[in-house]
Amino acid sequence: MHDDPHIPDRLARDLGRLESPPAWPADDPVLVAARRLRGRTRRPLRVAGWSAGLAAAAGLAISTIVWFHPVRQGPAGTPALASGPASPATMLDAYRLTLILDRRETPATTWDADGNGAIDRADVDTLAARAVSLGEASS
Amino acid sequence: MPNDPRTDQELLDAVRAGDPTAFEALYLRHRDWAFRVARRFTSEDARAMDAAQESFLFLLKRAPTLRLTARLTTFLYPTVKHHALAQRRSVDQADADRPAEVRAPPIHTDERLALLESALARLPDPQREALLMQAVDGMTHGEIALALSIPLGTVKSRIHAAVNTLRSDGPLRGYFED
Amino acid sequence: MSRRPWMTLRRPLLLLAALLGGAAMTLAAAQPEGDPAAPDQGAGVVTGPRFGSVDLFIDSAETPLAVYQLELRATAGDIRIVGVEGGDARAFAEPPRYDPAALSDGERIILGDFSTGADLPAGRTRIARVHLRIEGPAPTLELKLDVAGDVAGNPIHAAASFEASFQTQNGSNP
Repeated sequence: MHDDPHIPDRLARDLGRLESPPAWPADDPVLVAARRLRGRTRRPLRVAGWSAGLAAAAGLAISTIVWFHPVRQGPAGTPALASGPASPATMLDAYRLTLILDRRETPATTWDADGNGAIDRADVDTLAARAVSLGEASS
Repeated sequence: MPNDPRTDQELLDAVRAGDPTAFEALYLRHRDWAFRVARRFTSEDARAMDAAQESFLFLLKRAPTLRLTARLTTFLYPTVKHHALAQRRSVDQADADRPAEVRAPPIHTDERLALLESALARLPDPQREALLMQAVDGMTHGEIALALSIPLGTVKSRIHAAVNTLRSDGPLRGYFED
Repeated sequence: MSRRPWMTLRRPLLLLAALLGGAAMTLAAAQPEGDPAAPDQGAGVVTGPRFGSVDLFIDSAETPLAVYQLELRATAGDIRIVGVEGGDARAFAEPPRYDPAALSDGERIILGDFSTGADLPAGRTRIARVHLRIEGPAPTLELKLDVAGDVAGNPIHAAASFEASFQTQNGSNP
């Protein structure tokens, strides 16, 4: 309906000159907030350093138990986990393969989603991508 | 950091991954743009600066969980405009309680710029907005349509009308002569 | 999505802090502030183009949710997806996976994610937010939960719902 309107370069340049940038304050609140966030993300590491000696024994023992607890709780070796992904693949398959790899179990060859002969995180990504693909998913 | 080679999307990804410098780089790259946009809707530099900063504080809170499907400036434009209009409303409210005063016209030593600014001020708001988005912000018509939530044809007609008005303005005719 | 270095540190620290009593409060103090109100875009315009967002929720009752996949589609109306955000739960705070083709397709998107982290949500949880550009009359949205799973990778019964920031033909929770 409309041709693309043309704005001469010189006009565009002068329009830009009308809008000069301000002198930003050194204590710009956005930079302050961003840097505060930076400090916040570092804090756990500082706490970790401070309490490392105290935490060493108790932390290691407890975290070992708890960290592996969810994995042991799962039905390791059940047919659902060992047999391979469903067709079409769902995000559940990507998650199941992740569990298998995290446990360092040997997956069935049917998990080789990308067909490269190795079963690794790339297969997790392949399964996840298939799961959300508009081409493969049921409508 | 101001010249961080990463794209906006890469910087957002880096923010999400915990890179503490990525957001600063993003802000330093775009804060002048955000100020320019905000200044178009406010009457004071300080208010425009506030609006630009508020927009980025908004983005800072969203950044860790945000994945863009459009250019950052396209995505942020409505936010900056929203904050700028809010600033203007607060000024208007304050002005209502004060005696009216005549605001001094902009002063440009370059007469041509002064004429241009005057002509720009006479354009209807929607036309001026679309014109500046293309000419100054370098946004495509599609991006303008998305940012303003208007059809593509409307974007083109607004810019057309703005350009035609400027062209018909005697002193500015020189811009359109080769 | 996968375990992150800071998460491997955080868990033992939190456990230790719990054992040590009040220290847990110190570690948990740095919570992010709530999102500011979304900008008022297109307020008052019913049929013109406008932006809006749809919050997606999954209710897994008492079972911690480790994995999900769902599909959002507009069965009527003209929408375009312009952004995808993560949700409230730490486990699903990052944007979920989706097919980039959904952005050009416009009328539907499949989202999915999983977490091997410790902070799995239970009950009704916002797991993602989808930003839309809507044109024309209020759209009709449909949300279908394809699958939800527990920490062991077993399918679980769960319910999906959404809340739109704009008017829809079928309300916010069909």
